[in-house]
Amino acid sequence: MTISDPTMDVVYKAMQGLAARQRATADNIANVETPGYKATKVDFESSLRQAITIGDPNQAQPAVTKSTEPNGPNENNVNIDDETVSEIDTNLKYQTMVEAMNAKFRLLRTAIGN
Amino acid sequence: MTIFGAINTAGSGLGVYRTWMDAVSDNIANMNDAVPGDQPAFQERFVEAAAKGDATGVGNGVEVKGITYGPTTGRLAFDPTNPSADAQGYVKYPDIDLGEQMTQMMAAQRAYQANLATIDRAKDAYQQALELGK
Amino acid sequence: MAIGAIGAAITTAASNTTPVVPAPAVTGTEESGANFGNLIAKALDSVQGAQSNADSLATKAATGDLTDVHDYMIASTEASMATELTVAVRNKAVEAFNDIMRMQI
Repeated sequence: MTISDPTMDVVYKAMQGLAARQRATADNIANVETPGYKATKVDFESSLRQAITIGDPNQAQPAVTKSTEPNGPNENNVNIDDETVSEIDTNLKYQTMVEAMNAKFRLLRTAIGN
Repeated sequence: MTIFGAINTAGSGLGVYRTWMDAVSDNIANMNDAVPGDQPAFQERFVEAAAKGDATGVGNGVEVKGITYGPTTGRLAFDPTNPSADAQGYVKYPDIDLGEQMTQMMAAQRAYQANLATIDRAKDAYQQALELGK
Repeated sequence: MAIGAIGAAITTAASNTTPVVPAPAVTGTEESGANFGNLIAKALDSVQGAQSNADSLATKAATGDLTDVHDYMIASTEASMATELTVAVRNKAVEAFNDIMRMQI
């Protein structure tokens, strides 16, 4: 991003991580009956927290791992309730981040003089 | 509690009530398993649920502590013509009451729907909060 | 909450802004100039505080450490309103300055 400050970088990284999580959740829900399928989990919060403490949010990388939950039938370990809740939660967090980004751009626009 | 904590808490409830429905359907499916009179009968499944987190304050929801099993005594029926009958002619059936299982199924269903309604309402509330200042 | 502080700043502005008197009454100009200067400085400080508060809450929300989303939304609204107030005051000050410069002596 050309116009940015540290907060906008953090928010942008969070949006990338949340989008990755949404894709993983959609993948898991589609594969709920696939034999042998292991659920995918995305964790970007720990990486982002560390990147913030060292002062460079752009170094944060989302960690994509396979879930280690116990298997259900068909060696499939997708927990449909967890995935549904995660979908709603991720969606709300994404809306919050979009709102945060909008607020920053609004401030810049006001300062420029609209 | 995390941001949007109400949704995750209700989500934990969804998991527990689905396990309960699984247990009840298992019991109903195995209601008529006949075994010879001297062998253990099918044991009724019970789900033990307990609150997650600290004993005080607002917690993090509910979780399944474990599955416990009912007695193996079952009820004996005298039926020498049954292929599973033992030497004395007795067949053992599990001691599962269909009426009680259906009541539990209804309770689990209502609880599951109540948790879904909680998630829905909490999502609407949080979305309203995201409209602040617009 | 800082919204109360902004309201106080507006009433302070209304009472402190005395008409700027040109050259002869030197002390009058200095006093009203100092009052207006203080007002601008206070407004800028409060805008800076509101913006950095909104920034830190946004960072907490991004890493998932925020407990209530409405905290961030309120802080962001305050920061935006404080900025708009400052910009409006600046615009009016520039307009007033131009009006004075246009005055026929």
